[in-house]
Amino acid sequence: MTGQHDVVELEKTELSIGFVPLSDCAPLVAAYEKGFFENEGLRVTLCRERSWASIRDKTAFGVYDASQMLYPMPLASTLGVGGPAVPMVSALCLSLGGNAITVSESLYAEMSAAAGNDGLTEETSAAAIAKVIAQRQADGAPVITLGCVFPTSTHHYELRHWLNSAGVDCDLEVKLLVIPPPDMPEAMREGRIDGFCVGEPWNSIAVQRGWGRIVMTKDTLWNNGPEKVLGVTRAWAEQHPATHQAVLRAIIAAAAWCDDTDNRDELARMIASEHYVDVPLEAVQPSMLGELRWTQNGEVAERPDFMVFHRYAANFPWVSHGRWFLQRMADAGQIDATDNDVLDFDAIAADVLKPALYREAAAVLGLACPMIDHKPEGIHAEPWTLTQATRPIVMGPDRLLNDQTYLASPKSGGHAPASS
Amino acid sequence: MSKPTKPLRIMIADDEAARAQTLAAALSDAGYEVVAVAAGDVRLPTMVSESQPDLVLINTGSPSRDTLEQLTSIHDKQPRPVVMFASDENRDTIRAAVKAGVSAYVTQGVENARVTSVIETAIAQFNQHQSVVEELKRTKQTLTERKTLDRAKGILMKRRGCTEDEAFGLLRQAAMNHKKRLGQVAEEIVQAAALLDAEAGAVEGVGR
Repeated sequence: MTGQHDVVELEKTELSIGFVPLSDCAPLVAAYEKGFFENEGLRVTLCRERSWASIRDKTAFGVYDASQMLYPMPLASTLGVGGPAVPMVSALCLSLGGNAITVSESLYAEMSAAAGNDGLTEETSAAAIAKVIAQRQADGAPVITLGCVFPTSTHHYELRHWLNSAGVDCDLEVKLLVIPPPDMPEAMREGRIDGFCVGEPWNSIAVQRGWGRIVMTKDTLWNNGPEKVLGVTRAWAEQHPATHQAVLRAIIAAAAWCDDTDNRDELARMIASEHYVDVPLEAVQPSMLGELRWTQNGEVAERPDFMVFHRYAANFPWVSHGRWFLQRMADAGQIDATDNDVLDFDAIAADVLKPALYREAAAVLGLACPMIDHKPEGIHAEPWTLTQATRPIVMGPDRLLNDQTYLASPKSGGHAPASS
Repeated sequence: MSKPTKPLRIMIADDEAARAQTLAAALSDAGYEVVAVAAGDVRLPTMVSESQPDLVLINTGSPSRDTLEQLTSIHDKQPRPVVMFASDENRDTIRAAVKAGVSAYVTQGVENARVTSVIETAIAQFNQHQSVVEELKRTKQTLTERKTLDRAKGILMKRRGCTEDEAFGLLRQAAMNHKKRLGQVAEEIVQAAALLDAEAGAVEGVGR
């Protein structure tokens, strides 16, 4: 069985692709269930994994051909941060957004009191938790403990981004714990953590059960910020160039299908099923349909861009995004500070993200594609048009928390989001 | 293997209790000190600091692995007590371990040579006692869906006199139009063909 691109022979047609049961595994699920893989002549088995470490190792050592990964993981693996140094390639971004920070009812009450007359909103939430942290220190009360899903996760850096914006020292003033996403709501209910940053459906599950409230979304921390990627080892990419292209094409086409609002309901049903996330449908719907509830009986907040799979050039692997995450690793002390002088973040990011591979796939699909590798962040509060592309592309807002900016130019060194 | 003067202290975390016990027994027999045996648990980091193992063995698929990962790199201000078994000279051992479904975290400073034989014992135990039920289930489902898809294509090719690619196109279009999974559409075609065709058994690809 071959699709329309049968000119080049595929090096391999039977593939195993790893994923973690989270709503943003959607493009892989759609690629399988709606025949996008088959259309490229690929016979794929999707393999569910319960830990990111397992995804990393099974991909690194060839059990899987490719996997859904947290955006920073292929960069970390390439540098050997937290595991064996195995060079990886992530030429395709699977999703933007989709995360939130949820806190327990009791921490929410403390934060509300701290926010006082300002009211507790996303904008005041960091200052509010900073006050609670200070108050607890003064009272000799237990330190606030927050969960994230992996050391080199977007969620870890999002918690730091949020807390740093109010001047909290994340290494000294709070405790950060790694907890698998499905265990997060329960860990909070049992009081082992006071809150967490996690992907969907796990925020909505905590909210729907009345165990906590969402206080911050990735939307507000970094509007349309990148989240998951498709990772392969560099060796695999070099040995299977045609297969890699076929995989990229299948998933890009599937991601476009996922972003069609007409398909979101069907997508939610597929994702919730026992083979994938295996949760009740109503847990998956809020983020898939962009109708988020922040509290159990609260009003629905319309967030149509809460989870983006394709529009806004979402699948393009921006080198500037790679540099962003390398800088977050350095800020978190995961990349040895003494090595920083010799590490060229742009070169490392470019080697992992390889935008030329995406461009090749997009050209065959006839999709518009950015012609630049770097873009600034924190510049646009509204949708805008990228003209440095094969055809103009409508891009989403890229606002950063507290109107921070992040420059695109590699020469600028792109400073970290400043603490306010 | 050189004889260690002091036996390595080993902690086993395995979601399969029976396998953990067998492995613990095998390691004790080989002269190692098994200091803790646990199931996967989010409290693993605490157990590590309490039992002070030189080496932690954990099943690769355990969700709790990620909680151990934080020992390697989330607390940058503290010493890193455990690193993943990651030296270049042992790549083949890691590969074999990952394939067998066992992962190792090793305290810094423990010699690789001493670790390798422990991991090899674990690999042998894991290979004898595979726990891949979920994986098998998923693979089986994928294979069933593929067979059904091939049958459905065969039915369409015969009835519509079209090529395999065209048959696939029709199936896919139906999946898109009716908001169904491709596997579901194929299944329905196979069922409908069996129902409609008195000689269903004779239709190529429907082997009943």
